[in-house]
Amino acid sequence: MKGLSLADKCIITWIFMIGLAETGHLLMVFGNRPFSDAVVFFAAGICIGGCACGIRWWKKRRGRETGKGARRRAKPAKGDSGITAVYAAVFLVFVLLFLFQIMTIWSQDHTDRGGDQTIETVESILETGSVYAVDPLTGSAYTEGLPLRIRILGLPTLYAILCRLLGISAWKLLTKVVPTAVLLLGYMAYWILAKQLFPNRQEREWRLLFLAIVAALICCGSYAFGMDGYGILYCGYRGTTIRSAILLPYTLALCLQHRWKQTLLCLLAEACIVWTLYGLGACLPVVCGMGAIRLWQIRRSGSLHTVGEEG
Amino acid sequence: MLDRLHLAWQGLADWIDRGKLPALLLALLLYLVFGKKQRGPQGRLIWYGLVTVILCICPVTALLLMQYQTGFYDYIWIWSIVPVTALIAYGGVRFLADERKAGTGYPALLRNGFMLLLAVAVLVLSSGLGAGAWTERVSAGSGSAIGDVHTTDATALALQEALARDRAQEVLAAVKANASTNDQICLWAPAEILEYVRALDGSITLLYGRNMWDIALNAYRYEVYPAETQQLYQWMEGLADGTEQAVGEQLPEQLDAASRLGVNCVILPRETDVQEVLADGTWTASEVSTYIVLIKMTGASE
Repeated sequence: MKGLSLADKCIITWIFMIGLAETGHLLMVFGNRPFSDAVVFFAAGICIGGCACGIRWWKKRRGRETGKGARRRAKPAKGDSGITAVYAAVFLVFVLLFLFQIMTIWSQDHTDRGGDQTIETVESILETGSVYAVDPLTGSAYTEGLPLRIRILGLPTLYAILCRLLGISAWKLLTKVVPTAVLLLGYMAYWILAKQLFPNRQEREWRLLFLAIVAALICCGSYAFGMDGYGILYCGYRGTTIRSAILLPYTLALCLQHRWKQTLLCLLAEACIVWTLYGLGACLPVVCGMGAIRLWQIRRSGSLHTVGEEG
Repeated sequence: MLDRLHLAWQGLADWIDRGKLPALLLALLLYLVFGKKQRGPQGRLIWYGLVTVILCICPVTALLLMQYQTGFYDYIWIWSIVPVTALIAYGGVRFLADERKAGTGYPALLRNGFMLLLAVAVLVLSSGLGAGAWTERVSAGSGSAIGDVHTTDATALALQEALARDRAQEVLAAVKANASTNDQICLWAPAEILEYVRALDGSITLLYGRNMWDIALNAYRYEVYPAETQQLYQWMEGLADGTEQAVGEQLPEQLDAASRLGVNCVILPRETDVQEVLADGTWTASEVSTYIVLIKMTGASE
């Protein structure tokens, strides 16, 4: 986790949670373990991960205090006068749009559950203590079984674990809390992307404007099912929404930074939450496409160090 | 083959029917590709966006992408590989940054302000401001039993949905209060109640679930409802709509059929005449909200 920003760490933590929940889910499905084991496994994973991060942070801090490996914070360049009027105005616009989106999620009953049974599945897991023991929509036992591609997806288990640990209902978690988290993490992913597209300190106003336009697009671009904005505002708990709002922009940002190994996290996270057995998902084509363009650029320039390239 | 190509093309036509953000994306890509040379990460993003947009628009490559999805997903999901939001945002910033007039005087301020307003207008006119899609999906009954097909007003529909959910919660509370604690409740009710039951309370089983009217949910299962169950659904919805004729005469038979399938709790519209059903003591009745709750007496024979 070297050299990672706070936004990177938040997104990676979310992916880590998906991974833990998926492992617990597979233990339930194929190992016939009860739901309580998955909860314990998840909580233990979070605690161990938290402790490991805490120890690392403490060692880093101790290293700084003793002067070993100390990093001096770069002083602002001369003439860099901090927050300008334009920066403040753009920031205000972004905050207003963000607050509007939070209000939309929390104050209105605009939940699109068409073609999706996640909420019912979470309630069934909480009630029966196992996954897919009963048909989530009726509560009766399956007579014909269900497709494997559904059984292996761990998103309902993640939500059920969060309901159990946080003590809130599935309805509230999935229609309010999760969409808010997805919105926040989505902005973090786009912020990481913005830093790649506008890397200079003098371009920070453009970075913020980028984020403001993303916010405007989420509001304005929710006119059709399948659009990013529609997913976040009306069905933020769905796997496809998490993919489009968080995983895909983050994958793009990682590709632009040549952090190819880390893209594997996004591929695996998508596999856990979307029907990846119908095709290989959307993150893989992004990685392959960006990789192909990178190779093409290298061939064109004739060397590994292209003029104008970063790192 | 031609049919499948037409399907891919029709998918694009439907996709850009309501809003024009893909068209705005193309316009911005044109500006970025033929404008100032972009290198590094910016250049890679632009070229990736251009290639993927072309792949999604061209029917042949769109069809290949749909095949990559094994033909299960709709056309719109192939656009997941296109970073629409990121590219429009980047293109917008690039346009405003490159075309703005330098300086702090009034002419510069007016020009830049006017340009910004026009850009916002373009963004707003390229999209539908959101509400249309949700209301149309609900009104069309796409996955929801709620919705007055005669209104697409977002506020009215949201209110309907909120009221329906509150009614469902109220009915559930009454059912659990009146039912015996030992009995597993198996509920049969109008779709607008069943819509929320399993999402609010996982302990109640249903005669049929949302997949009875939201056929997309049948992709999650192999089972189909037997004809008898489907007939009960048709009857109940006819009763709830007020279109079912001579309901009083049919009620005992329908309740018997439901009982045979394990139902021990029935929700009916309040105006339903249940006197004949209550006469033999098999069912007890109570009223809640705009419904009558019938609960089968424990140990009552069919």
